[in-house]
Amino acid sequence: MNGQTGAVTMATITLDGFDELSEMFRELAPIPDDVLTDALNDMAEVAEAAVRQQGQALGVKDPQSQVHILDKITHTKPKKTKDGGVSNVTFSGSRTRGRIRTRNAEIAFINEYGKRGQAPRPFIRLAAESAGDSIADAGEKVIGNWWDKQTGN
Amino acid sequence: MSVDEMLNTALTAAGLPVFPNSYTGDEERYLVWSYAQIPAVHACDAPHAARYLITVHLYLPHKENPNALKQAISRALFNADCTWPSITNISDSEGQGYAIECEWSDGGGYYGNDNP
Repeated sequence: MNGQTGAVTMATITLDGFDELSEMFRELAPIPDDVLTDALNDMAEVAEAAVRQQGQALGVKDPQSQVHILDKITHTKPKKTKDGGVSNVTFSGSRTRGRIRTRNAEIAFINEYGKRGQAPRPFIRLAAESAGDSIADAGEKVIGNWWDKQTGN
Repeated sequence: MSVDEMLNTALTAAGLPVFPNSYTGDEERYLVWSYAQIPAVHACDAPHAARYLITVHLYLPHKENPNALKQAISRALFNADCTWPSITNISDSEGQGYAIECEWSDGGGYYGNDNP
């Protein structure tokens, strides 16, 4: 903003760089699939680590098994969507206790939300709260590196 | 007002027994609250407010319509300055269960600072 003084006070507003900004968004739109996949994989790995860490902090476990459900955290293959892409962090596999087969995801759900007589251990909600910035940073780093190569930086 | 006082006061309006953290008694219809506390509004190397991630569990017998209670609890929490809750159905073979989740901030009271 440049101020001009005189008999009548006026203000001139200028906006520099709009053309460059528009050009950047035009170039940014077609992020290659492999870059998007790498970004989502890296973000999912940070999310997995955060869920595992919070789970350990809150003592998430299956008292009837030696296999720790926190070792069964994984993420789905990144998929392109109309809004960008998605990879789900989830719990794989199941276990048989007595004659009942139970999915590890179900054990994680009961740990997260609790049930009658069992207090919740909201390790997934806390991981999302604490690691939100780190997850975004992981994706930003991959896309930033690709962008730097495009612009020769 | 502490988060415990806020929850007990707000949830009593639903007309059900209210318990902190966990309940192992014989009631069929009751509420249990719990929360995680996260420091917030950092300045001068110290937090000046606390954010609370609150979960209220509503437990009911099967075949009972839960809608009016879910709405009353959501409204009571919102009126106590919580965010509008989200609700996850956690019912199982023992009965209906709903995890009602929202957030609240104490405005700095926990850290001895009412004006962060």
